Amino acid sequence: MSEDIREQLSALMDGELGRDERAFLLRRLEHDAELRSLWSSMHLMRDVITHRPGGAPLNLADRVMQSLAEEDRQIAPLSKSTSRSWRPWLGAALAASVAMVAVFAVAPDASFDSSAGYTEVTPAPRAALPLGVPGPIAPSLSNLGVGVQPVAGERSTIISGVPTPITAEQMLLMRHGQMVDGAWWVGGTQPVYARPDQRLLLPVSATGSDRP
Amino acid sequence: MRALACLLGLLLAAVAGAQSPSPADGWRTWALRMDKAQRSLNYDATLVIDAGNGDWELVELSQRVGPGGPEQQWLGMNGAGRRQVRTAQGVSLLGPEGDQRIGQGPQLRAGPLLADLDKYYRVDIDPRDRVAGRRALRMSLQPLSADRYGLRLWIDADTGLPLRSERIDVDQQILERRMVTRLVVHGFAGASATPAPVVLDETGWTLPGGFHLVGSALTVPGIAGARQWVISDGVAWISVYQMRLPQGVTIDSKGWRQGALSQVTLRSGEDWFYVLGDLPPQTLVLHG
Repeated sequence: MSEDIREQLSALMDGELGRDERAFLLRRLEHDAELRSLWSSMHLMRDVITHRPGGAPLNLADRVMQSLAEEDRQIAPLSKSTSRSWRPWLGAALAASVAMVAVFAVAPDASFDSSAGYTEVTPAPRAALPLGVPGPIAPSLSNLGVGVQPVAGERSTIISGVPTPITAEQMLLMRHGQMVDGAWWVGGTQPVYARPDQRLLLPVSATGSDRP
Repeated sequence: MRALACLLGLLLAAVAGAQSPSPADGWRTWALRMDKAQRSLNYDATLVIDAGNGDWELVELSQRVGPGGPEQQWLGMNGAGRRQVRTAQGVSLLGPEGDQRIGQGPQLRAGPLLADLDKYYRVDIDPRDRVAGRRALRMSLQPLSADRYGLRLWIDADTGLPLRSERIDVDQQILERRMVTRLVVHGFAGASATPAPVVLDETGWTLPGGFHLVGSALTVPGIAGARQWVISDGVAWISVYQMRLPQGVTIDSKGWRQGALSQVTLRSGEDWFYVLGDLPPQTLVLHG
């Protein structure tokens, strides 16, 4: 279970998720018993920490699912938690997650070559930045409402291959490419940048990379 | 009754004319109209992309405008068929490696930056072109200096949406090009609530003329302690990711360029700067 999904659950408990994000997570809870169990545990822990009379009932998971189903239909704002004292429970795990993703490639020298200019090369696997982006999200697009809908009701045709986690560099690229509202002509917006194996890169060499 | 109908027709024509610029209108009108259209129209499009890597990318692009601004889905029709979804909550990548989420970054628009483009680009328009069977106005932005790339945009005469784009270098070589081959517009969804770019204090930044610091993010999910700065002149967009690395760890300092997108890595003391943008890499190095 990734830390990201734990964080999303905690945000759900606090009513801090947006409508779309909440819909994503609720859909996932519907189909993921392990996630429901975690959700129950988190509720139990919060109730214990906040000294709620009676604590949580043992069949909380089913009751939670019942209330979630109701909530999914209503799409009503979740009530805000009055206490965040259970949050530290996640702190250590989140810190571990951050440490885990901070896997960098070691380069012998950070300076640029001053004279090489550009040279076309066949792209090679690069691991310049840490493996980033912890955790999956629920893939359902059906709850986006007025938002993005699947194209013509179809799903992606996935060609099976060796799963490769997204790298931090790909994450930075996509983050860059998606920041300008609606402007598909801004660089980095297309999924091709998520395919480093098919990128034809022109290495850049320049002077003055190390600023004093 | 016939006179009343004629009068109503004239009034409607006048209103329509006021809202829809004619080809004779200046480039500013068209630039602002495109900015508004791409933030406020619901549409489905097929997009062909030549990203300068010798390969073609075919994408089904859908945009729906929600309360938080435009939401887009990019469905790659070639290769693994990855799907990239951007909503107000962030960017998600759905593919064979699983479904992965990228946190929300700065949500920006060119807006006011477009008004001063002619200070740094020679702007020409040609209203007589066509793209994918649609009447289009071609806007050419030729940089007045070699520190940035040129941009050609074809803007749909009916909707204001961009239909085609080309980034060109100082030698007029096309670095990357994108073109809509099919467009189905579902209507106006209201102006986006996205705030206009805020020009921040630029003290300490050495930026090329016309560039402004337009946004920042104090966190970058997945990389502890990283920050993002966004710089733009309305045509080129640059992300500067600032991060501190653990002892003994460095970033690969070899930058790269693909199409019009360049990347360089800079370092200042313990701070590393991963710079990314639609600019010649030399410009990124000089001004990053």
